[in-house]
Amino acid sequence: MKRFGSLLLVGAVSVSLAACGNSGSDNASTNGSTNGSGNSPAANAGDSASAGNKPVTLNFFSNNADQTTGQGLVEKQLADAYMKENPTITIKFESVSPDQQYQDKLKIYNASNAMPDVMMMWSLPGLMNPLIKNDTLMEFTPDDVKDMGFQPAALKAFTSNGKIYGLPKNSDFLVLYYNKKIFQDNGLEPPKSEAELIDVSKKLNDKKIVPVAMDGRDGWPLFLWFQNEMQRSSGSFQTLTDAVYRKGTFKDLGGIQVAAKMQEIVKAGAFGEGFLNLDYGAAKNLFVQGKAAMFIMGEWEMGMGSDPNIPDDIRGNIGALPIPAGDKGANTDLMAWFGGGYSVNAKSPHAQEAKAFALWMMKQDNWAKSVWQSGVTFPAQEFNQYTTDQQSSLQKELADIFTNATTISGNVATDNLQSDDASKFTNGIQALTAFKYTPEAFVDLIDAAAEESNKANEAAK
Amino acid sequence: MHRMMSDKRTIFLMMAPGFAVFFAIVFIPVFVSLFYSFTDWDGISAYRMVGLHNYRELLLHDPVFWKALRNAFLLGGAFLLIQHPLAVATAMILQYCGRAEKALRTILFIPSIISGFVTSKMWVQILSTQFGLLNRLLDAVGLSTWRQDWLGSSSWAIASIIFVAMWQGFGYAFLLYYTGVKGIPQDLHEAARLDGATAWQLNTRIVLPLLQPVIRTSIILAFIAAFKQMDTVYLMTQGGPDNSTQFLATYLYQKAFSINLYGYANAISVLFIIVCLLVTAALNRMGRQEVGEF
Repeated sequence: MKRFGSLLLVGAVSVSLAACGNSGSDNASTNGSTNGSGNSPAANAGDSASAGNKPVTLNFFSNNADQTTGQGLVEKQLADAYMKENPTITIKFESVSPDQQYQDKLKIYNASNAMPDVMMMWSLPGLMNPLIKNDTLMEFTPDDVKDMGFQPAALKAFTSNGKIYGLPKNSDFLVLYYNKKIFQDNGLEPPKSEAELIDVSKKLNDKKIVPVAMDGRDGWPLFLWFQNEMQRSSGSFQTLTDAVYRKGTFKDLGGIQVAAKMQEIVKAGAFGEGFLNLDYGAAKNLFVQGKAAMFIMGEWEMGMGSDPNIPDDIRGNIGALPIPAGDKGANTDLMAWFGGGYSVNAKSPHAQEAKAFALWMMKQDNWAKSVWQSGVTFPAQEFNQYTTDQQSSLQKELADIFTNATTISGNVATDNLQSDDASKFTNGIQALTAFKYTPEAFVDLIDAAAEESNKANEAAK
Repeated sequence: MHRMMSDKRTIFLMMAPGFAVFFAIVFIPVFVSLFYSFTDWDGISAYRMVGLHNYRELLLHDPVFWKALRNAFLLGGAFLLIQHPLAVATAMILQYCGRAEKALRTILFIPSIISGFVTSKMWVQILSTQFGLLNRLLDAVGLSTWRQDWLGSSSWAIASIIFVAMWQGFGYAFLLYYTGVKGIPQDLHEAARLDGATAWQLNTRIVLPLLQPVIRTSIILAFIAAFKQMDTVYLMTQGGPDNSTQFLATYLYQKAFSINLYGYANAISVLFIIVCLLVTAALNRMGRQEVGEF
């Protein structure tokens, strides 16, 4: 019986794996029963009619589980408005968050041929390419999107072999939020350069305030910081791209200095103690509870400026700073990328209806206006014309950072790393900032990982 | 009736449903897993057969796998050498607690009743470096030099995880021994006392040997628990920092669901089964000793 216990455990893991085990097209029909999820979009195939006046149900798969606030609310409001205009169409939401789980579920849907009609998508090659290869994603023509005000770089992120496979929904960029009151009370100036950051960190540590709240446990914020540091040290975002695509090695392109600089910043106590085990929520909490003076995160946290759950004296004092300048990179060089968007399932019986809805939803007057005016996120479309007095000061400060940027990184090259190698990077950065690796050992590790990834990518072509 | 029960066909028919379910949810997945462990499947695209490549990588070039295995043995060892002796001792002592016995019994079992999610998150808060209860307590009593980055430094993180896992599992271990102790007939106690045995002698010479079957089962269960350790680790450190608290199950999860190496993850799961079977067999062999009837 005991051995069965262990078998059962593994069995449980394997069942879930087996459920997605039908990606090979030859056995696609055998697996419906293993995929236990009753609410799979295929279940709705009952309303099989695809023509004009018959009722059509579109399944909208979203990563925003909360539809009372943020992007979830905007999605719901727009869907409701669309259903009002088109009474024959019903839009049904299914949400899974966080993003990792969402992506896992999407893969399972794909493997079991039960893809939703409209879905949140990330312009990550690892996620999109297999779906494109499968002909799962609907193509948008340049004509479809021509008057929608999309940033060209944002559309490019969703373009593969000259075809557009998704409508980008937001622009993301890395900033340093800061608590103006803490700085004022302690007679400190917000840091503009790394030297100032180190200086401020030491002073804040003496007062038992965490200088920068950093989500070190999840890995990706540290990874973003590293990518940014590559630019700050070399003066160009291209350096990182070159190293990832092996036009040079991290070693030759100044990786060792970057690693040493990162250790210097950690040593100065910039992230406080124990940041390697702070997750996103914990790091944000330090900041919004006034225990940390700064918080390094993406622009998507701009809702903090109007979040009623954050104490008044903190909410009103949140400002945003560009990431401090380095030896060569200025603080107007902005790490910005375009990750999220919506895609449509080309294999759906309602593909055309779904596409029409997606295009309608992403109209500038719908999506861009709604998210910007409600302070939810930065659209990937022109938005300045929608600014009103209602926008929080934090939102305006962020908009300034975005508009004043002289160079923009665009999608980061490390997105092209094989996922296994990307995780070697993140683990390496954690080990580096925990002083378990020397800068030299770290650079050797990431060079090896980039090399391996590049070979695998070449082989895949 | 007797004739019906000894009819092989009847036995077969009665066994069949259970066996079919068991076969479908245990054996088939294991074989599917075994099959995928020979592929380079990423969860979405078509896969290729890669033979023993995944196993070679795992066994020869993957230090994290060995670290995960080592951590499982460390945790199993800690269960065996720290948690279980403590649980046995507590179970024995509790019989002498008179009126408090019932209350204490409940209190000891509380950590096992509360959801693992809640207790894990609670320990994350307590062990938090800058604002955690533990470090603050150390500050308050003037032991600031003892402060540690309990979950953020790789050497302390594994120790913290082991401690929390032992704390969480203590209730069950204790309960098993406690029932064992209670199950020993009172006449044996009386006979021993009549012969002039002290409480110490009674417990070490009579109760402990009679507890052996319980101990054997508990230890096997504890080792299995150590090997399949997942939730606590996932909730407290996610295997980090730098893989220092990786366990087989968390590593398997990470490879399959974060990194999309399903083929590789299946190879881990197959090795996982093998290791579990080997450990169980070894423990069974070690504990094969009859205590006799009582």
